[in-house]
Amino acid sequence: MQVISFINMKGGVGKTTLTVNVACGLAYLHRKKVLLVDADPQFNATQYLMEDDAYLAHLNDPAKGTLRDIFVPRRPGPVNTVAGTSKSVNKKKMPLSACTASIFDGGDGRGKLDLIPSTLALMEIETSKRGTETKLRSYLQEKAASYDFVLIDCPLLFQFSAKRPF
Amino acid sequence: MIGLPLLEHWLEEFTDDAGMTIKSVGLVFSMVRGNVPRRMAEVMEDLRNERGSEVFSALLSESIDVSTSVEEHLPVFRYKPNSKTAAQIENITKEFLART
Repeated sequence: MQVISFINMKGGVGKTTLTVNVACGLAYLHRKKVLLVDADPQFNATQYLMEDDAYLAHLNDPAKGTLRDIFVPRRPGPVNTVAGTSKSVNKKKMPLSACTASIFDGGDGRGKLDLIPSTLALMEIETSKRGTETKLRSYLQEKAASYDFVLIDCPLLFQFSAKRPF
Repeated sequence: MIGLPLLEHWLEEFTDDAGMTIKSVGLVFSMVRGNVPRRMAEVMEDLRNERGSEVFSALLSESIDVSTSVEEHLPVFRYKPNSKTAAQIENITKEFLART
């Protein structure tokens, strides 16, 4: 697994276009297994690859997550009929399959592209506690080893969240 | 050209603090205009001279095909397979693979 970040300082210069098209090129044309991470709260890469209905369905599905859920896994804990909610916050890491949308799957050995979608709510992590920025790194190391490439469409550099790709 | 050194300096500081190393795959010119203004052409040439092979040979031009491919939720080479932009994407992808 190689992790490659697409970075620049200025918005509107074609970074997302480049990231999405290279990710697709690797998967469709070169039969690579590719995971594209939309790390920009403006979620342009997500909008590029997902139809609106599919994206909304993903957001509204409680079993599905976005990049925000990888950084700040806070879901309601399991409910116990005697004790009520046994744990107020479930901080367990979501499986990668729950945090991805399949964009292309050519079959075994014929290329695959999955996307971790972004959301405007990703902006919330700008004010999250120290150490949050390293969570994507450990998550990818643990769960994305089977991909040939992980490509990350980064937000503008001055944002805290731009630190996460490395 | 001060943007690039500033970006590199920031990356170096961050990776030093975090105790990690990263390496550059390269620099890609994007949204290049059809008729490149003289000043921009000079900057591109200067950068190629200064950075040599760090700059991708392939580049991505400004094109309406990109915005329409976004509306179709398709990469350019599937939306308009025989277009100039599709060929550019394919070249960038090949070069990317050769560098990684």
